[in-house]
Amino acid sequence: MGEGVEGLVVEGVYFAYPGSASPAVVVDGLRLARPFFLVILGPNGAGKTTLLRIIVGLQAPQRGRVRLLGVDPHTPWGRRRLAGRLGYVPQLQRVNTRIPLRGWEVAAMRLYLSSRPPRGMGRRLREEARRALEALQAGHLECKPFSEMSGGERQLVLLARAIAGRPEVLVADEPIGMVDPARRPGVVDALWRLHLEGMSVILTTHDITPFLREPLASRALGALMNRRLIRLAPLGELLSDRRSLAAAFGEYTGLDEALASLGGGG
Amino acid sequence: MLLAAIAASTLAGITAGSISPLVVASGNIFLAVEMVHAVLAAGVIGGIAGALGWPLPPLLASVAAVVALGLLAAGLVEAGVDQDVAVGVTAFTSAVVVAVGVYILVRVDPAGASVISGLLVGSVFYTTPGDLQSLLAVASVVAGLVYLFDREMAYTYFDPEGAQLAGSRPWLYRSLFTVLVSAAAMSLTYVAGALMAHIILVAPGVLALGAASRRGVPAVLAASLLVGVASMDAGVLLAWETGLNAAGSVGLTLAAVFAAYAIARRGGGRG
Repeated sequence: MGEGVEGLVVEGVYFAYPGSASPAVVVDGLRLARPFFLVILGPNGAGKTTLLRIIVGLQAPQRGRVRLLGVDPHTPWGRRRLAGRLGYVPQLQRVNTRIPLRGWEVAAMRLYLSSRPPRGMGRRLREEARRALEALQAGHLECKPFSEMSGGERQLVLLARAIAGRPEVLVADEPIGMVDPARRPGVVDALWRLHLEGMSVILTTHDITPFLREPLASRALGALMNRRLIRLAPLGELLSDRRSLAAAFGEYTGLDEALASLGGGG
Repeated sequence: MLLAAIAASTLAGITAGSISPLVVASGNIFLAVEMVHAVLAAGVIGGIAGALGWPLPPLLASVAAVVALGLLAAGLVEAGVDQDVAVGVTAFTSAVVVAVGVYILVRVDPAGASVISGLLVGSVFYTTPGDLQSLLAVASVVAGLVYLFDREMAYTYFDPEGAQLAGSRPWLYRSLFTVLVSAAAMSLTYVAGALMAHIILVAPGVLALGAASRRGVPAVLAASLLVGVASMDAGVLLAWETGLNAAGSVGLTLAAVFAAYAIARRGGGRG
């Protein structure tokens, strides 16, 4: 996993929120060559979001070293080098829905801001935004006001924003959590196709069902977290490791029900 | 006198209409209100200085006060202080300056009450060519920069972290926005007075967002501009005809526009 072109390095990272006695994130070593497809799993409060924010440079760890695409995202120079190469999907509560933007305007945001001034909302940007929405089967949201969208629709548009223009790496925090369960496998398939075309993907999820399929189960990586990185392994292998799952989630994981509903085994 | 007043109100309407939608949509109404307080504080300090024989150009005093307090608020936010708390600190500062300043002003100058009255309800019918130049400069800068950077500011307030990761500089656009709101507060306080400036900074944006948000940022800005200019001009004309002060007449005009909008919405809803 550590061979090839450097994709992601997280080494000796320690982060605790101010005033908290216990750390929110501890990662001794995580090194992935690109393109990678990494699914981060863990219970609520496991530090998944914090780890993503550390990886993209929004949160600085107290200790440790992070490199994304060979760049330190915690320096101004690194952030400038990553702009345009990184697509990011935040949790929904971090966006202001009162700003009067339509679906395509949100989807074009990353491309617009990473272009050089003087900027313009030209036909090319709108075309790229439409393509990204259609890749997620969300073309019907192109002209819909963001403020009038459902939670799942907003997540699809934010995901389209992140993949528009095909960045080198996608970092997504719960990108399908509010999407209709029936549509989630289609969204995951779209991300997998982008990965096969060379995009690296890191995402967090509480719903593992769309990932319990081949080739994802054997070829995508899973990282199990509960404040510290417990185990990194191919997803299928990780999800059959009862001891690690119990260490992260406790005794109840919901996995048995998920696997039973798929007619799969443990 | 009327022509100069109409010119002043048009320029103030352009200023308010340009910035108002962002004030409302970005959740910065408290900041806008605080900027008006800062102008009020500057006016009181200017009045005291004038009474003591050190005439202070009102524009210069206002710029100094709003820029200083605006940058203090922006600096506190960038340092991690909650925005409402940061604005609260500056609001407290300007409130104390106004309260103490009014006491001193009426002591050192018995005519100081008229200065305070002008600040509260506007002095649009005493507009001089120099005032018009200042208002024109403010309107040009505010409208020009808002239309030049409307996307950048909209995206900054939509998702500041996403904007930062895309290579934008949210702190730059937040600071620019603060400066523009400060400039708008000065312009509006002069024309319609501090009491009504609070409302004019917010009302066109509220109406435009309600009426045109489905059509995106450019349509909202155009609608807000229309509401801002129309209500300011109509208010000044009403003041001229009735002898009411500018603040009262602009307030009545805005109330009429709100009522018309509410009736139109109800009619549209039934249709």
